[in-house]
Amino acid sequence: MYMLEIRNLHASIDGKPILKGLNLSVKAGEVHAIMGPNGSGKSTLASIIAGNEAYEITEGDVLFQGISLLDLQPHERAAAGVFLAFQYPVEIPGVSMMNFMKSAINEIRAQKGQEPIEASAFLKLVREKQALVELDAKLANRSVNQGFSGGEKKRNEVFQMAMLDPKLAVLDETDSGLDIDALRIVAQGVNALRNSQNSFLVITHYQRLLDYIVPDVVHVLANGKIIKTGSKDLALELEAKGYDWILETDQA
Amino acid sequence: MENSNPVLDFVGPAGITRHWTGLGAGLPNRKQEEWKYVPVEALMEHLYPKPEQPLSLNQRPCPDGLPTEIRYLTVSQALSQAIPGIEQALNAIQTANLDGMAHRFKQAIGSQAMVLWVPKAFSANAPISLAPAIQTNGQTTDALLILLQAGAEIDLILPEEAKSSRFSFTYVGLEASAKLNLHRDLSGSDSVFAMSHIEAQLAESAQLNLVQWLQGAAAQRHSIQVNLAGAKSLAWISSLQFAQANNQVHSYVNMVHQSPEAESHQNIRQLALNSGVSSFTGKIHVALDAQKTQAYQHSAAMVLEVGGRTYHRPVLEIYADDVKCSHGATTGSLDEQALFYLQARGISKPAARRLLIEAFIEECLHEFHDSLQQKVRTDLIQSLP
Ligand SMILES: Nc1ncnc2c1ncn2[C@@H]1O[C@H](COP(=O)(O)OP(=O)(O)OP(=O)(O)O)[C@@H](O)[C@H]1O
Ligand SMILES: [Mg+2]
Repeated sequence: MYMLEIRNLHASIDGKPILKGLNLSVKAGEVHAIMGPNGSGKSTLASIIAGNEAYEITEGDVLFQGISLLDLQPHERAAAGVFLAFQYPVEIPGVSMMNFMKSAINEIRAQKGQEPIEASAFLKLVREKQALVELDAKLANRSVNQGFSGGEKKRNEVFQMAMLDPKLAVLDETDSGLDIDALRIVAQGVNALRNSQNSFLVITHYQRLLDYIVPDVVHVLANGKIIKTGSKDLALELEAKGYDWILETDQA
Repeated sequence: MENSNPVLDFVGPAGITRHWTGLGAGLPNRKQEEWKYVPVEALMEHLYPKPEQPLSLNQRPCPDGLPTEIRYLTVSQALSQAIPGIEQALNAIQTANLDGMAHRFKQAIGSQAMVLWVPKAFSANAPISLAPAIQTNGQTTDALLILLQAGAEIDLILPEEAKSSRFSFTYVGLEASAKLNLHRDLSGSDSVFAMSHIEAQLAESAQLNLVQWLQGAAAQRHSIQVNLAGAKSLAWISSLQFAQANNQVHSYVNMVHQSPEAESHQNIRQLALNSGVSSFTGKIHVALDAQKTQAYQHSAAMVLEVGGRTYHRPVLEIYADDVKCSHGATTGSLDEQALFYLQARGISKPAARRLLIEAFIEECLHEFHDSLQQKVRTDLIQSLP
């Protein structure tokens, strides 16, 4: 059974088709990278996996460990173990980071029929995961993402991922906006969480990230479809040659 | 058949019709810019005719465990015992320009109104809670004079009877450096009509912190006039308004800076559900010689369902030139992206909505006394769709 299996996915927004028959299968323990030109539908795919209702699924299915995600609300997907690190993390004034994280953990626990986390255990977890991604502890006292720098926002996404320990994590351009050191730290964070039971879908424009988070498979998404799949060497080839050569082959 | 209590004639079929006429006309109030040159008095007389017989008041019972230094007595008793400050307070009320509804209290206040009197420099170490007035005919009408002598400090909580229509008048007299925290719970069940007026007089360096929670009721209309008569006086008003289906929730503030170096803040948060209407009309008046005034007003509204309506009407009348004044108003709905972000982290949609709504009202809510904060959160959570 696959961790994630996407079958012939067609999706549109405001009547405009974005995904046009996308297929993708990811096994437990694997890291897949998705690359592709701007506007090709990468974030759309990520949003659909997480359950954004703005997109209309017109055909196909998204299976997570054999069950269709399309019947689940976003919070149910999170409880099942799906996580999305947003390309553009949302600022939420007035909701403190700590209140937010605690609500998230407790709501997920409640959905699994578990008691709320104890205050001391929560704090311990926060400290441990802050250390993992070297997130400034002061940020925890602020409102969610409010006034965070671009890099801090991305680090905060990885911090949240570490807190929630998902089975399937989709990282949407988590590397963009990070400086060299931050990139290494974030990648180390991801690598520390990698194991044979979980999977990662890493969306990126840069091969550099894939030097740190080494993928098992690299896909190219263009025009709403996966048009090429290869090993990590494909990323190097894309870096050197751009997308045109595959787009041409695709059309041929 | 119209109700026999003349002051409450806004209740009962004829009164309700008159009341809605008033709402439809934009709730006339002399203190509003657009009504400045309209003979509002006459209009209000028509909407709320002067009583033919003297108004009879219900009284709030004396709270248990009131510190012995604090007096709670009727105006007649206060007069016969020559309680300091009572004469001035009565004078201030008689000469005040009270609008349509509040002016009816003038007659009755002389005898039956209650006085809460706090002596000089006395500071209560626990909040005082004054239970709602005892109702008659399913309605309450009460008048209260809160008089703090120089340097006195108290926290006062005024819960209201949620199941009856009510009409109340409150006079707040703060002597030099006195400090009053006044917490009003103005929630009501859906059939209720509620109106109130607060007239506050602040002497030098006095401080008034007034917070109110307006929820429910067929119609609520609450007006507050603060006269910053003494230099360096300070007033904070926080109003949290929640209009559910078919609720009309309206508040009015008239902040009058009469002396130099006084400071005022009006901080309003409004929430409206389907077919609920909430409004805030806030005026800042700065007199010619009230230099170095600081006056701020901020009103933010969130429409939670299609069909809900909210209004802000800021009015600034500034005659002094060396002042810092600002006002701002925003209206929006729940941020869909923020909702999705929270949901994607495992928080259900209703809980995510609650988090965002609590965040929106937080700046206003944290001014409330703990017990009232708790009640507001519970009321809100129970009423959200
Ligand atoms: N809410 C929306 N309304 C209208 N069009 C949208 C919306 N969201 C996405 N689109 C369109 O869908 C297409 C795919 O967008 P998407 O964000 O998935 O691209 P992407 O591959 O993530 O691009 P990038 O590399 O720039 O992040 C784009 O043409 C975009 O304009
Ligand atoms: Mg994108």
